[in-house]
Amino acid sequence: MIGQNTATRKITLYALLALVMLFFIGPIIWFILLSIRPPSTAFTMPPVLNFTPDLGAFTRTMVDPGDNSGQAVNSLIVAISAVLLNLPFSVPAAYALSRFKFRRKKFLMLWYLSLLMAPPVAFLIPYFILMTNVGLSGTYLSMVLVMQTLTIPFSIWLMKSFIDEVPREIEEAARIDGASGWTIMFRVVLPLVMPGLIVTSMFAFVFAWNNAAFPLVLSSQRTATLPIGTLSYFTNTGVTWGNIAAAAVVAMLPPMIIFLVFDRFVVRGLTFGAVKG
Amino acid sequence: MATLSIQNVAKNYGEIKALANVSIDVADGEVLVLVGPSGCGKSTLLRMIAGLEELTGGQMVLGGRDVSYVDPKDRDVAMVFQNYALYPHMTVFQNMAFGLEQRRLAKDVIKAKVMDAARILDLTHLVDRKPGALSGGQRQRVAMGRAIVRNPAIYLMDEPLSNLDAKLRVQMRAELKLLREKLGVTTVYVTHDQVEAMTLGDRVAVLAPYSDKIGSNLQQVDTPHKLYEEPRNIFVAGFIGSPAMNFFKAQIARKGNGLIATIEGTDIAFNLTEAAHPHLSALAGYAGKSVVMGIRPEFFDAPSGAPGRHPVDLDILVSEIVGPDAFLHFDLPTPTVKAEFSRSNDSDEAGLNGARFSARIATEKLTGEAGMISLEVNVAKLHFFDETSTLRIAT
Repeated sequence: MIGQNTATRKITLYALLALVMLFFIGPIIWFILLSIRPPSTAFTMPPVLNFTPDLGAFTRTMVDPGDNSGQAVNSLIVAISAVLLNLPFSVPAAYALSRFKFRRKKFLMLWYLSLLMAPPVAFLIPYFILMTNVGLSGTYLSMVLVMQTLTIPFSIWLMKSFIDEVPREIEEAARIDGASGWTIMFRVVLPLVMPGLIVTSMFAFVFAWNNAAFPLVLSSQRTATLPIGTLSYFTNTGVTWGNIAAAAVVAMLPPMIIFLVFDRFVVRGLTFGAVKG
Repeated sequence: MATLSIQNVAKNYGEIKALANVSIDVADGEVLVLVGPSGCGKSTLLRMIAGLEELTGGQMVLGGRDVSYVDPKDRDVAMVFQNYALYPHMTVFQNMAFGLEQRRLAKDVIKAKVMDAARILDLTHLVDRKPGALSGGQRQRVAMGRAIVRNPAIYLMDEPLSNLDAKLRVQMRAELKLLREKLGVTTVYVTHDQVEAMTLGDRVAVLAPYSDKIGSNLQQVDTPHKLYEEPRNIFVAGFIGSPAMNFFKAQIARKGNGLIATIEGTDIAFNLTEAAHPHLSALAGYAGKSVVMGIRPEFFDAPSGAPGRHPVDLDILVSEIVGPDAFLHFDLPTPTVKAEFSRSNDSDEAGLNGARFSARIATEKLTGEAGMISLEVNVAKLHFFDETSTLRIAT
């Protein structure tokens, strides 16, 4: 009886898990299928599964006549620049917040966070006006700069938690060993928080890559990013779902690859052995 | 190699006085141990010598040079941390070489020095490993190696053995002693373990949390033997020795040529004569008054009838047999001496079954484990302290 009972519980549990998984992965699978199925079967219910896969949507969006590949390059430029600009500001700030005592530290930390709490849409118009006034509207730089307002606060919080875990004694040992502040930073602290740097960069990259709101108002025809390209298929004359799906699938790839490759860094553990384990 | 002179050093954290009026001179090649209970400022003082904490007052003179406000990197000190603080991303070799690289030594010189230190510490086969792949004892040796290669003016050690298990600690303690004989570098060593303090220190400085009464954290600086035989005050007497010294309130009275000290509330009275106590005159001034009398547990013994021994019958509440020694715990109907110290790091402070006192005798001489047991006290080894000043009364 007891055995049967546990078996039933197990089945119920797995059924629930499958349901939850379907909820998360279902839309992604549906989107991938949407990009390769004939347009006529796009919204049939129940979904038609025995269709002939057609990669036409990908060539139409990426190569001809679409310009999504160029937009993907734009996205890459914006996202990589966002990462490169992010770390030199967020790492020293996180270090200072982790190590130094100063007045209003808590307040400052919360103030950073408040930037993340407001909906970014609220800032769109001010940023647009600002960038137009300084003559940067439509440039990569405008998008990269504005994205920092969200990625830097987040990165500071993330990096601070990593730096907090580096024992102070290690830095003190380096000071006594004769290392300067810069040497301690580059040869002792940064190597120890490498997983943190990677994770922070990952999040900054993915954020910048996926962000559609800022490029929507700040990019030009020439600098439009992939999310903008995806949105452009919603037109007055109709919505080409196959194209949207194809562009979105391509847009999904870099974040997915990044997470797969750097997955292990999300689990930290490099500082082990510094102090008594 | 250098001398160290700590002059009237003070450290305040806001309103709180962590350290005040601490002055100690450390001779060239000497090992000074700083010992004391938690919160006595011993680690703070060590960190001030290293330059990791700023001085609020006083001076720190190392090798004749005032280093009070000099950066740690320019002080020529090496430190071994309690948790070792090795660089986890570097190999053992790189860990030891780091300090030398900062001093811009040639690569081959660095290699020679590091391998030399590795040989002394028996680490040669481990130089390519990272700290994470080492045992506690090996990490400890790497931390030592990092200090040795630098050949600094002074070694600073912050409880370097406290993270090791008991057996390894005893072994490393012996190795440290050998190492210091080999290297002969001035060393300041912090510990809360008095066995380490007594075995490793040429001299030991006993520190206590700051109190306005004494006006300094420093209680006494002396050789281990002197600290044990002639503790300057009740704090030092209670801190040095394990189990701790028993303190009784005693009445002093004249008796013939000598004095008699009676434990208050009991009829236990010790005859004090010039023969056993050559400086009895100081104590004679307390005739008719009460003092604090201290008896170390080890100066109880099984009855032998030898001269200078005073028999006592004690109601033993419980005894602990620790191999060759037995600790007998007892209580007497006498007021508690208010102890202005804590030995929070020692487990044997709290009495067993309400027993406030203990005696230590050889297990083989034990006639029973509880109940009335006849013992004797070595009268020559009694200590006396002034009740108000807590200072030792020489006898």
